[in-house]
Amino acid sequence: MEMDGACESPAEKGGDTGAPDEVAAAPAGPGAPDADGHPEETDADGEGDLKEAAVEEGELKSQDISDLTEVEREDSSLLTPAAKKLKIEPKEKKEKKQKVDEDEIQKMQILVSSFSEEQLNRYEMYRRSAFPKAAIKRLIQSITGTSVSQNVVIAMSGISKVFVGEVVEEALDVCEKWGEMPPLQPKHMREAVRRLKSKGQIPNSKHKKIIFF
Amino acid sequence: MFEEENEEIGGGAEGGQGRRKRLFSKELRCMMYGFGDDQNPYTESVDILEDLVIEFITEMTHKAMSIGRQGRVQVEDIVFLIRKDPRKFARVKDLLTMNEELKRARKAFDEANYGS
Repeated sequence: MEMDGACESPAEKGGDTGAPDEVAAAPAGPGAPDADGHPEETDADGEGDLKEAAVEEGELKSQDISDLTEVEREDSSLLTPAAKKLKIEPKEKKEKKQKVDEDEIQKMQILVSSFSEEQLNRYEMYRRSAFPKAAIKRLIQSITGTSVSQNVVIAMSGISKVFVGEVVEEALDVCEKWGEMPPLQPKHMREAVRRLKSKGQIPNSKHKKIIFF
Repeated sequence: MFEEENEEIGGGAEGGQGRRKRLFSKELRCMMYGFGDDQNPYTESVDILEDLVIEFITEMTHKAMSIGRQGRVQVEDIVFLIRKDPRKFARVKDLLTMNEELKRARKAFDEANYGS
């Protein structure tokens, strides 16, 4: 599903699309006076750096599943009984994981290098877009009434972005299923939310759950 | 539910969704494009998403406040709450790990500069 034109990159817009530190962090090195040090992007603009980003993402993606098992070893308080039974030899797992990482990285590099300009634009938006830390922090603090640590803001921003992704992807499925085209309309969004809710992917503590009937 | 939220227009000092000033419009537009929507998403859709995100964060915050150390939001609580959602769980772990690495790298860089 390809669209024409290109969304302006944050650099062109003067950094007012994403959080300013997203852009500021890009051209500078790791030692830059970047107050927040957002871990999402450390690369500068340009195709070559998108490839590096692809490497990074390759690492992240392959870690998505294996990360769960990684946690099992490190933090037993998060283990479910079933997960404990699935423990493999730590050494075998590590070798297997490194091999998977390398494959993933290579695949991502090949993929990104074959992107069209429009795809590169979209990929750049996908990687770089982020919620402004200040606004998130203000929002959380207005709810708790106390201050929260930087890590909390980082975590909350991160999972919120994943949440947005889940809704948008579901809405795109709905849109396609109904034989319509983007841009997504409110009816797609609402149907997407309805579906995600029935899958339990949207937290809702206001509804009284009926378990047995 | 959603209809009501969408039809709310204009200011007013009430709290609640759909009535406050838009917080993330620009960022959300880029995000939606990145996740597959049109380069120019509909404003109404962006607004719906913003309300969803604010509701999501509000729910998570309230839940986090009710577990662990009461009345406070800590990272451990967030991690615990999303433990069953593989994508979000993995993402949080990665972000926190990368943040630590960045902090260490920056510290080493600063020390190197200071030394010379």
